Amino acid sequence: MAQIDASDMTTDSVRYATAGDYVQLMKPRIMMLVVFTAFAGLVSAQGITGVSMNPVMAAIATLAVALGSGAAGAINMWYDSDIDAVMKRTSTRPIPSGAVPRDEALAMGLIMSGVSVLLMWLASNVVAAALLAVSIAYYGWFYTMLLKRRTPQNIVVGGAAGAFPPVIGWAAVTGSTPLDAWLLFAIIFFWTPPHFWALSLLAHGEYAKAKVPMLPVTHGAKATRAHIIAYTLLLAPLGLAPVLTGLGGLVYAITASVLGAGFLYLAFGVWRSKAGDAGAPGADLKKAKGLFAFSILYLFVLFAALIVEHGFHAYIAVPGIA
Amino acid sequence: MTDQTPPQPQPLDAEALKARKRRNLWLGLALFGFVILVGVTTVIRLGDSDLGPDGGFYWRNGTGSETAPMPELPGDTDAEDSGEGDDS
Repeated sequence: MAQIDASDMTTDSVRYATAGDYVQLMKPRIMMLVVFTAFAGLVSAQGITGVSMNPVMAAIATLAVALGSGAAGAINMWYDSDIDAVMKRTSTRPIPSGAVPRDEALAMGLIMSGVSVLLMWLASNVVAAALLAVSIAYYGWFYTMLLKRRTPQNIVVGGAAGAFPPVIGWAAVTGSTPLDAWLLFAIIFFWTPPHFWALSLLAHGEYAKAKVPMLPVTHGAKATRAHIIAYTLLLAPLGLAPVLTGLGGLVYAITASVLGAGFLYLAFGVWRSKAGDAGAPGADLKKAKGLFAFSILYLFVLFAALIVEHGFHAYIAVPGIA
Repeated sequence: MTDQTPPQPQPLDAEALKARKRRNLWLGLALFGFVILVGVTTVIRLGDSDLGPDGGFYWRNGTGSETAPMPELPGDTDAEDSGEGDDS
């Protein structure tokens, strides 16, 4: 496997790790999204099935998802420390900055993986624990070690890792994974490519320097913009699919419609722009940046609508849908 | 065989010792938190289990012995009631 020469990773000055460095190893911003979507799955499962989970057990199961996400993040940082050192955006991370030794990050990731799966099993059931184990392996091994440096479709296939949390949350309550849970999986799965490609349009130079075959590096910015609009055209109607199964009520239907229209509008803007091209005007880069920021808002608000409906008894069935 | 002294570890400076102490403290707290969480889940699981008067979580073995009537004791006025209504 291609590894970049990491000789420039060592620093002359000694920097001792703080607690914050270990928190950074767990990729806290990704963890927040993972925990939030898992919680939405957990709350929705209780609302739809009527099965009530002990609140303390639910909190521990959510914590287990957070730890699992952190474990996968630490393993990812351990493996990718060579390319993190090359890219400006990631060069200040705990390993390339010299604060945390690589082996320590790996040990932390492996121990936390075991702890998170064990806690999930204790707090819920074997199905949720197995799904958590699979999602950690999917991100930490399949995406990080096999896909990321090999194919421009890395984040499409790898996106499944981030799509598991609502299914895990659902399984923690019911011990099963019905269609509704997989619909939430599909929404995140199709959301991931336009989300990451919007960012990669802004940072493709960095990826090229690190020899990571992101789509703008291998196929150019124009093809990436076309892929963004294609996936958004799939995502917008898919966001409304939970309404058809009864998982989403009126609040969700309105939220998904407005957010989907907004996502499409911004994606069309990026598609028509020159974002990612050499010498692209600042306004076009702003469009890609705007789409990236909106995509985060999209997922948060969409899943918040489910939490409101099923957690706060705000579910109103959409007229005409059983 | 040469008479070589093994390499001695470098003494840590004050900053390194402080960092090590801080790390150990966090590790200790994390371990303590894990123990507490395992304890809490265990207590809740046991609390949710069917710890009925017929033997409960630890010694129910499904042999039917729990349905056997209690032996009649001399002078026991409630002897007729014992063993009834407990066929779970």
